[in-house]
Amino acid sequence: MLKVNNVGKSFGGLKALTDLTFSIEKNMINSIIGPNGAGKTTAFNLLTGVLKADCGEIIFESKDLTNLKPHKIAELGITRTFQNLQIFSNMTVLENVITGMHLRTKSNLLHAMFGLNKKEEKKLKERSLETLELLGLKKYAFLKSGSLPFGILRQVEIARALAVSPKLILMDEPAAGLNPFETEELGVKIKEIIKTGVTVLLIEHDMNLVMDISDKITVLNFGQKIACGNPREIQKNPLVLKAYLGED
Amino acid sequence: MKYLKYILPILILILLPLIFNSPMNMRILIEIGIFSIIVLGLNLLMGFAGQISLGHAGFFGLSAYITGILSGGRLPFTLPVFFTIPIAIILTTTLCFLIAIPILKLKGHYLAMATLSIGIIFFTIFVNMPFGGGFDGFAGIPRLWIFGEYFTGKILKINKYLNGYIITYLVLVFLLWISRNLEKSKFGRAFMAIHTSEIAASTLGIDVTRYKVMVFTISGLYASIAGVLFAHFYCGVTPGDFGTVKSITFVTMLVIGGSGSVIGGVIGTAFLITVTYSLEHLQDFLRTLGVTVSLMDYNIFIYGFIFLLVLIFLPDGLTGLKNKFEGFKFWRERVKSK
Repeated sequence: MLKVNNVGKSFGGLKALTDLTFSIEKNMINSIIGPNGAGKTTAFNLLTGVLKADCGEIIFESKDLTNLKPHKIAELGITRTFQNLQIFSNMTVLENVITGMHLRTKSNLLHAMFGLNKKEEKKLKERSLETLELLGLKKYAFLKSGSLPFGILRQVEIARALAVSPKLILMDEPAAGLNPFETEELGVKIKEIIKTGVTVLLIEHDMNLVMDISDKITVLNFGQKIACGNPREIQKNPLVLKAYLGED
Repeated sequence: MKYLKYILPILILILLPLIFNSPMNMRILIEIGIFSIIVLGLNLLMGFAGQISLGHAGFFGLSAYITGILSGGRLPFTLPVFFTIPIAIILTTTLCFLIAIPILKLKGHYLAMATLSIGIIFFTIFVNMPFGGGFDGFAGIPRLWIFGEYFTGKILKINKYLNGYIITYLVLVFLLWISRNLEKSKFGRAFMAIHTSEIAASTLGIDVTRYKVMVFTISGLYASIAGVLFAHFYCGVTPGDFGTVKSITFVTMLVIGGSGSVIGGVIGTAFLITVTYSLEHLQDFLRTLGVTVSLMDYNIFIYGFIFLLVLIFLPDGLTGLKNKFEGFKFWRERVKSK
């Protein structure tokens, strides 16, 4: 579905990614893991167009993403959540999700100015409520998002990303800051998301969650891929053990 | 009860000119109306999209000057008002669009500096403009009448102040309605999304650059409409009306009223202008007591003082008072239930 070929990115003298190649399979939970500073978030930023790659190419469903702007990439069906929350805190939860439906709207500026978009707005609201229900967030719909706890906001961000109706959704450490119970709940929800036909790419440090739900894991270290496979293979891979635990 | 929120403002708008019908008070009401229009546009830009502009008086003045020069007998030919008004609005808005494209690449303080300098550039242009009359500006711009001067004045017996009031507030209510609609549309949400997180907005498919340029242009459109009304009701323009202090006053009005709330801009404008003219009354009152001070000279000082108080105690502006009051009610009920 998505192929990353020989991508490199450096910040000044620091090589964040060198010659990275990996691929993502459709309708699966794909995970990227690796020690701190391995280049996971940089890879995400390249995939969503927040940063531009120095070399290499990124192909999504036979379209080249390498030089596209973030909103163009979103139009192709890739969206993401953020490690440090980027919730629109001046809006309610529902409005956050409706904002995610931006690409599904057809009304233009004149429609909006003269209030001719009421029908569309109503439809957007209904569909947003459905999305919130899928994640069990309906009870928070009309609350200001600035006043909600962290764990809920993480899920709101996932709901907002789902509202884009993406083909691929990138989640940057969705379990960070959640307690074990919430993490388990999150795992169940991610599995449910897969059932709706969306592909997930996950960056996560919580190994229990990753090993539990992933179908395919890519391991990065120092900006390079060191291993790739299903959870059982990864757990036995000597290179991975070395990267995480060091040599004796 | 359901229609109260529509009926009440309309009632106020009808009663205001009947109660405050002296020429001076009518002038103040018109001033509130015109400045409210700019602050409404500024609210879209600052309150919604979070992009600051300290140069809006420039756009306000430009459209006033264009329509003034074209219709005020400054040129060898004179165009009728109904041509010059659209020309002024279209030219100013187009220029605003062209300025927005490069300038909105800047963020935060840099954007503030850039817009401030645009305001100063416009001021310099007004002073040195051919046919513009230099520092003194010029008078003799024809007045805008609702149904033409003869019909409105002689047959309907509407005086020039009431005429100005009606036109200004019709335009204001119309633009208020447009702002409200925008707030509840995908455009309003896109602006607010850009306000909090440009990266998040762009990963949801919002073209950040396009929407920023759009909101800047719309707020320029508001300012140009206000400029046209200003020129045709004051019947004269001077560069001093469109200086940097004016731009900053607009921002002050917005913050006092409540940045991010559509009605807040109008409340803030009305409040600040009322305070200014109350000072004049206070000054007259003090003179009858034998104290002669020129309070109007302390105008800016008092603006600054109010601005500080609002920033410290009411960060959401006067419209934020409502939430504070609701919070207080909630607290009181909780105390009672204990």
